[in-house]
Amino acid sequence: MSGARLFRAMGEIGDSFILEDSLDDPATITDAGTPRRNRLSFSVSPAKWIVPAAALGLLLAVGIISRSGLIAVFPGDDSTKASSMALKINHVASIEPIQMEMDIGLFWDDAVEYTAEEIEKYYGTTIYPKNLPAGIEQTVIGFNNHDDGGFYLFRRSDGTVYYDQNSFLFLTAADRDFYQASGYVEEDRPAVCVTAAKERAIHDFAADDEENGWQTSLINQKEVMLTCYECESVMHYHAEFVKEGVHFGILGTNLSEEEFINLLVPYFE
Amino acid sequence: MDDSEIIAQLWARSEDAIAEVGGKYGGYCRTIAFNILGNAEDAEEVVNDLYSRLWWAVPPARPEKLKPYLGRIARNLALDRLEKGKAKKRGEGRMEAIFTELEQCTADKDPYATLAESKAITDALNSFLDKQKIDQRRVFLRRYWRAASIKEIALDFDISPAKVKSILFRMRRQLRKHLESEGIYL
Repeated sequence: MSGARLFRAMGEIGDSFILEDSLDDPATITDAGTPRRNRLSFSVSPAKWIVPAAALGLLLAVGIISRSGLIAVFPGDDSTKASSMALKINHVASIEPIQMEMDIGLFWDDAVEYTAEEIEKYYGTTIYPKNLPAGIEQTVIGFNNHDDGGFYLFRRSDGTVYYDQNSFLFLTAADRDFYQASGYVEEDRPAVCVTAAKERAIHDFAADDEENGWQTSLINQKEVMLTCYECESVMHYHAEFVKEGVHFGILGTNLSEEEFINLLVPYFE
Repeated sequence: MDDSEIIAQLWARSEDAIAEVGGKYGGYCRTIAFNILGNAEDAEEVVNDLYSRLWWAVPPARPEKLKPYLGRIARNLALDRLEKGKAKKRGEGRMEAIFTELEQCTADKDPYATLAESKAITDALNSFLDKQKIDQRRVFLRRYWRAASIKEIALDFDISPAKVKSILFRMRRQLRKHLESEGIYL
């Protein structure tokens, strides 16, 4: 019963913490007759990854590890042998674990749910990765603040789409089971998250690329912005690019550089 | 009426003070009791007990802030009720879930651990909470002080339930390390 004992001990914490917790106490608000806050917010990226993503946007100090002219060819991988690549992976030197969400005024009443196949058809190009690292399964999970694993387009009353960004999560079988049971993924687990949108650019990472001096990479003569950073001892690689009018943000967590580049190459074929 | 006036009325043995407490803090205490007990009737009995406790505790006590003082009493009364099996319904398993979550913060039982360590545990919890960022600390308290559900916390803070779980998971892991570093085994 140590959990019960610890819960009991929590009762004796300092008053300041308890008062802080009551800053906008819903019970007090309700008692006062003020409507409960019902503003909807939506992460521009999956909750798990928004921490470093947001931090990147706020970074003041970044460093670059340029790999100018590097031609990456990985032995034994047919998909990359034929690819020409000039990779410049912009290394973010420091990450502050800042959590941020962007409220972009989404209303879930406007959301129309689609299947994985339907949503890919909407984008009109291949969304799902073909070269997932070994162990990560092709089964796609929708990653959104509704926490239901679905895929959505937000439509106005006239049917036009005003928000179409979706995130597609790929995990190992064990992590997928864990995710479905618990609603979260351990941050050090290997994972791939593809974010796609037609209606808006995805600028989680490269919003200030010119100011930061970040350099673009070329894969098969097509531009892609690559960044990498370490957060809580876990390496993350991120790619942003536009393909056939669709904005992509692809994040690889705890993958090798080789695995991440292999993952990207089919998008540029 | 502010807290100091309520305290003064209690010291003057005015029953109006109890009515004032009920109007100002009754909902807060009832919510905590309900979260722990999962039953409105039980929660109401806790709040009634709370008023009685308050009446006989003040004076001689003179709490500076009534909200944490009352919340703490309500919490302990609800836990006592839970432990004694008086509760008609145990919060749809919520408290079992919370206790199990907190088990993850505790190391193997130390044979020398005793209840006399309570002060050390409280100090360790305070120093742990003091190091946390305010948003995360509030999520942690909402779960482990108020016993709120994951969904309620997500709604209150406009974040996803997955994010709530993720924050709590990380903080429990950190708390375990912190308690161990303080030599505390529960």
